Amino acid sequence: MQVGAALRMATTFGIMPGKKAVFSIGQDMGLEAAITLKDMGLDIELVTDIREDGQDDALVKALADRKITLLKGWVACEAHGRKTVKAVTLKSLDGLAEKKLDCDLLVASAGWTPLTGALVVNQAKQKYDPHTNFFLPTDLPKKMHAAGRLLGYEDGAAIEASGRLAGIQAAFDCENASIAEIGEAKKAMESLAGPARGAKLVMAPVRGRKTYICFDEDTSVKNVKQSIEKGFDVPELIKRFSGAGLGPGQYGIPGHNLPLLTARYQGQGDVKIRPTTVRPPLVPTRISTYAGTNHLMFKKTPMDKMQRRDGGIFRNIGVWQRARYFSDDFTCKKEIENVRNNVGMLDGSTLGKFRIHGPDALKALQRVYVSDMSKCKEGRIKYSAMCNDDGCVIDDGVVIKLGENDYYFTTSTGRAGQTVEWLRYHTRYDNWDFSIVNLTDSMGVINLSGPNARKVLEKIVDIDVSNEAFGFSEYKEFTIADAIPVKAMRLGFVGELSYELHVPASFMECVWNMLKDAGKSFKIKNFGVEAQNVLRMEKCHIILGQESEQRTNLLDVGLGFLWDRKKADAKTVGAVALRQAESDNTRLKLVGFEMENNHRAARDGALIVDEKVRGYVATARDSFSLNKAVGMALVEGELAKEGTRLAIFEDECGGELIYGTVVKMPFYDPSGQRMKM
Amino acid sequence: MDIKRVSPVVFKSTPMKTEERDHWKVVLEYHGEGEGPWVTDLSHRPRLDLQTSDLDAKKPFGTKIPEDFCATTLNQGIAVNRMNGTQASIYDLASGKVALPAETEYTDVSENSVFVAIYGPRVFDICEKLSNLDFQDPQRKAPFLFQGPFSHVPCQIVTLCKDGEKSGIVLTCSRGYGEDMIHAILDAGEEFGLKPAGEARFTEWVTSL
Repeated sequence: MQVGAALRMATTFGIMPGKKAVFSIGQDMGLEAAITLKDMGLDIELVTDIREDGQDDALVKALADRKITLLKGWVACEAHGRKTVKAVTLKSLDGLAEKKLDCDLLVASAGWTPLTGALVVNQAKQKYDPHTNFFLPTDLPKKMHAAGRLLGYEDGAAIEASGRLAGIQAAFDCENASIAEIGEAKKAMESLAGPARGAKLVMAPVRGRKTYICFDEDTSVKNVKQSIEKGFDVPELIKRFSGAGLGPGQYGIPGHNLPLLTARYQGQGDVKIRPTTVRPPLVPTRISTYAGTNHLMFKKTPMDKMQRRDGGIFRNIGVWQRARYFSDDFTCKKEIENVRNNVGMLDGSTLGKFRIHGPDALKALQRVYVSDMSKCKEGRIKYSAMCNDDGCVIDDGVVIKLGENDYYFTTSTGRAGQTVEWLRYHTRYDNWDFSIVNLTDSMGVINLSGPNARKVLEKIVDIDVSNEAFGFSEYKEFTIADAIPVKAMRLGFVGELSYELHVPASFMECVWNMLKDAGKSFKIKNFGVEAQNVLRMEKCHIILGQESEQRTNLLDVGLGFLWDRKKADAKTVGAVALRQAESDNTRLKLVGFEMENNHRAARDGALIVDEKVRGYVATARDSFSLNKAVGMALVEGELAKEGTRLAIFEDECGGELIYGTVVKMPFYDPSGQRMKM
Repeated sequence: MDIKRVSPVVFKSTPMKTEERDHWKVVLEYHGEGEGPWVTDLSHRPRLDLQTSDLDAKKPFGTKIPEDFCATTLNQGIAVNRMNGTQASIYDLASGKVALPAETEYTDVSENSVFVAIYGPRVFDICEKLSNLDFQDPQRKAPFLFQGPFSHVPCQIVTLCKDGEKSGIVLTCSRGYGEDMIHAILDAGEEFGLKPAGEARFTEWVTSL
């Protein structure tokens, strides 16, 4: 037990840490502790002090008065016993004399080291001081002053006086003290005790046993010797090779002992070696910090409560919590069939939503989107994608022209957080005048999908929502009940007649309930993210991140039709790379496949193989709409031909491959009639 | 169907006085508001985003936009916060005059965020548990703006006053974080007696600044 711990147990908690103790200490604080604990009733068998001299005479006398034997230049080398201490072996520092004493408590401390880290990280230098045996700060930067134990003082009056001197020097720096006052403070120190003699122990006099130099990293003296023998002969190199001093106690035990051991092992009498560089954090994070309250901060959509009430099973998706399923059947059969045959509601509020406006708004859109955004017309939806400089597709969404120099656009959920910076970054040298506002949380989104979607919607709106009046890929703004403003889009991500309703977040609960009421006669149902995933996969509409990864470009996933090759002035992000990739046959291609022999769907991420890996499955599911298992995969060009047999290797398949065949995409409603009905 | 707007902030306290306003049910007073500190939901109060390359030429609702970044002007219940060279946020704290101007540089972002005030005695002890930002920075004169983390979430936080028991902040963050943010604030404030308070108490406080 350390000196401080033994004292705290007795004085703070009233528990005597043992009955019969041996002290092995290295500074006067240890002597004080022995005296205090003896007076409290602890039987002290022996006190050994690593220092051969330099002890406070008054403390030595106090020990003698209490008939406690003090051995100078001795140290505890081994504690005996398993669950409790039974005895301690003590040795003289030269290792020639040895004692073994019975006891049930060993109070041990090898001495203190000044915690100079705060000074050192502020560019103070350290130098070995043979009197204190410490590395003391020297060459302090201007306006930095040290005091007390940082300079090796142990005497209380000297500590106080040094603090006063440092304070006056700091006040002088702030023009609040005079040189004369500094002189007085210095003079006051002259009559006080100087720095105390420190312990010279670096390692205990033991042979054949592990001696640690860094308790954080379990680095032993042997490890340090090995490092030196391999040529890593200075503390900075030894630290990196052995790990000594890389833990939170960096400038404590390893900071002090590593340079001293290195010097001693290499026979350097005059210690010129310096401790290793100290780095923040100087104070390790307390376990209580980790154990304390730490709230999980997730975003919830405005329909969160209603969906939970309806049995939604939620999953964390990025910063959001989203309803992934609405039953224990994770194939989502009923949810899917309801959308295909009736009408369902999906909460799509996590989509990124932005307003971009200003004289150069169109130029900014042209820069980041691959399509010609000047073709974006009021009342129409323009679907497009963004690429990075490598032509790899990073986002897709729709853009709507609200008015002159004023646009509203959506991004995928995952990209919403980066979109403003993405636009700013890619227009940073142009000095264009445009503004962009992130409205992601402003608007909730309901995706009303299925052949009966129109019949439900027309019950709550006053406008004509027929196919003629509100056709596919069109955009309308209207109000519900003269109060709720709605931005509505005819989209078809799930491959059915669909309306995407963007509504101010505070009204979402109201609109959601209105649609539920209106859809009651149709038995409208919620559908979650997994059902949407299957529905869109049947239609071969891709989700970035699912059908793509970091290296997948626009052409690989079959979205090349979005890229307008003629808008050279726009310097479209990724266009140069896409031009090169156009003639590259080695790239992976997105293909559709169906499983052979009515087999179940392959797992997402399964590998397409022959003698080597030739691609991977992006998404595959058992399709209830098609009554077969289908999926999309990214495969090498030569496997992309229709009819190609794909061998699929799944995790833990034991070498038993499953097979699919490349087929034409999309699988469901190839002519797109259902979403345009 | 009755059209109702729903705030992202939900308190468990029982409302004592309420008022219908633009489809919002605004709580003016709660039972057992205590002696402070208090937290008040202001999510129904208008907030605007103003972005333009010529920001210095603008004077929203007669209030000057501060020249320095992260400075705030509080004038007759309207706070105008300079976010950067081209952008300012505007909060209607108590004026009732803020409506979306016709100029296209303004965007109504009231729906975008949670908007709460935390004020009263020991308010900064609560804040200290949730953020490492220095809301009492002696180098800065209140009101002033921080754009930084509060309970790990990016926020705009305006220190409206750092004068003892009159101290207080207003905070906005993405609306989706509403439930978790309020849970974190109330949890941090429990030991200091933090209680939900209605809009009336907030208005009284903000008009006294």
